[in-house]
Amino acid sequence: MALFIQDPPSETGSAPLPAEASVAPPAPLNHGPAAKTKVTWTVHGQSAAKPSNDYFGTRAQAVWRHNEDRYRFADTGGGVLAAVSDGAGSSGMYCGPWAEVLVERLPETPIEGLDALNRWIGGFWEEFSSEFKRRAAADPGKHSKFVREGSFATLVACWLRKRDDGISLNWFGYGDSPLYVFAEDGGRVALTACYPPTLAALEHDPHLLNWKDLPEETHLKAGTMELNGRTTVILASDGIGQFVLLRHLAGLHVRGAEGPAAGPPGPAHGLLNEFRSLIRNPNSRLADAARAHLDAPGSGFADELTALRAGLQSEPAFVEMIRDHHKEGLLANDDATLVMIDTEACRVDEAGTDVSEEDAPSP
Amino acid sequence: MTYSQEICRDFPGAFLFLVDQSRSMNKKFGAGEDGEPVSRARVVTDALNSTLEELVNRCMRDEGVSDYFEIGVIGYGKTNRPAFGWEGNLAGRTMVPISEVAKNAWVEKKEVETLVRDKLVKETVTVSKWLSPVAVGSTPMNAALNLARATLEEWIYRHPKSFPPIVINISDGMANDVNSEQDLLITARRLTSLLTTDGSVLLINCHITGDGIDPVIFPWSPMQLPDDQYAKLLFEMSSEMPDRYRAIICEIFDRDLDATPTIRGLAFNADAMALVKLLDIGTRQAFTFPSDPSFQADPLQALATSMAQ
Repeated sequence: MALFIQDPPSETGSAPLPAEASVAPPAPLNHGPAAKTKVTWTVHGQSAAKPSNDYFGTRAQAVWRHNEDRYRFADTGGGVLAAVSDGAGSSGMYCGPWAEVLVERLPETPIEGLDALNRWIGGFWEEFSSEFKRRAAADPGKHSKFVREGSFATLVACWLRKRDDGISLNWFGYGDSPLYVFAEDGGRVALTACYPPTLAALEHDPHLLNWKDLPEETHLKAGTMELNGRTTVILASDGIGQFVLLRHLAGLHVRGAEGPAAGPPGPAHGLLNEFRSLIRNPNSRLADAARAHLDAPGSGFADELTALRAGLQSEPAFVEMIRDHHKEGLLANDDATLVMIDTEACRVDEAGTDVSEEDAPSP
Repeated sequence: MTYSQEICRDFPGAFLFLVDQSRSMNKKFGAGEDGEPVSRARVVTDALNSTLEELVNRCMRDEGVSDYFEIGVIGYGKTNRPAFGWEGNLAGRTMVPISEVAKNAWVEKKEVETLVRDKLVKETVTVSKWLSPVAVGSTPMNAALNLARATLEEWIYRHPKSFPPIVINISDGMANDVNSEQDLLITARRLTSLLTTDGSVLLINCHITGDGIDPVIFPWSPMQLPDDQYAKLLFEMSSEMPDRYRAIICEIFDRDLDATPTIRGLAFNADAMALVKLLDIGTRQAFTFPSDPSFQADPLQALATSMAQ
């Protein structure tokens, strides 16, 4: 799936400082009086069941396990909404359908804060619960598990809107489905925002949204930031999200990136330190994954992003990409969902010529 | 011996429960929901049924029940010889794939209160059962361990790369089909010497009394046990638990992991709660499936809740 929007209608709005993400401060722009901001964004997304999937029944009459990830992106008129929800496998029932409801019911404007999240879920949980109790009625085991445990899923969502001076990004996350923001500058790619903010967070069981439970403040993370220049926003389910982050960190480590070589001050510095500790730790599954990425250096993270974009061009290409990386030992056997939003916000003069360079701050 | 193989359909796990069905299991073992005394046999059977239901739940997806495990239950005492204790459609079967276990439960409807968005709501659910309490005859534990060994030897032949089978032996007394304690120890050692590529069979012993004596659960040293020859024997018979269990056990019992060099799979003088804890922790690796980070509920809480219901 893809969505391409060019120069959406201008809107203004406030953009408070990032609250919960690990975020680098945006570079200030020095706008010329005649210049205006031109914005483009392209969104691609795909989802695939885990490469080595489970089946039920006999091999001859196998019922294959369904992919429990869901994603969505939509043109909101002057903006883009994108979301990934990872239904939670063995705990609860109907986690895939619950993930679907979560992404499909997302409003076109950001959900801000716990009360808003709770009110939003309050608008549809009962309908979902009643419908799936009805569907499970013929199977006492499923019905009991659904009633007792509910349905679990992560949710990470973002809303992009054009502003006078660039793009605003509002996001929130509940669970371990990540959101990354990469800024591209002259072929160099720098991580400017990362949720969850640490590698350590990837080693703990996530807290998930369940129609049975009230969401908890401590597990809801949210923030806003401004996007300028060329930026890629990534939303993913945890397995492929971990793949993307470890590709980036392994590349930085191999190139010995320190200081300016790692890009502007931002989350990559702390994550790189964590990565370096991790690869010396023999007793962790994440450490094993980090070492596997270290043993398979790529040709640079810009190329990695290009390869991911190519994989998103079609479902078969995505499935093949996931299968290949799993075979290489770089990607866990898990449902994989990836949404990439490539944005560009540049200053153009009245003739439409890019004047961003002229606008750049003086050294 | 890494004990690291993930449980999946191609490499399923195995649980074999050995249950003492001797006459002494008729003794009182606490009180039921209605406050009336209940027998050891009843408590053990309820705990086992709850454990089986929990294992089925963990393997249940929207599409059906995935065969991550094979399960066996051996009863000893009902007759002079131990035998697999499945009832109904499963009678006569040995190790049974969990999808078949799920299909062959008898279910009872029950009204429970469950929390929905912070409000208690009454719901009708079903409780699955497979086993009935039995308490007659003697305690041929040695023969039960031998039957377990023969069964698992064949199972390992079919699944040489799987996580090693886990045997949980629940009894209230000493075997009376051996000439000496040494005989029983030798039989247990023969059972735990069976190997998959991932490790040796794990034997967890649960000695129940419910006499109000403080239970000792997952000891790391025989010095923690009462001055009792049988306790020392059970300690020697019980497997040293792999590191993945050691970490979980230290977390649950708030022990210093660094000061706990080893842990034995044993509960001595167990009461009903200790039995539930042991069954939960003993089957906990069931909750770790490949690339499945999703399980967040506390299985101990889930098990305790389902028992309470």
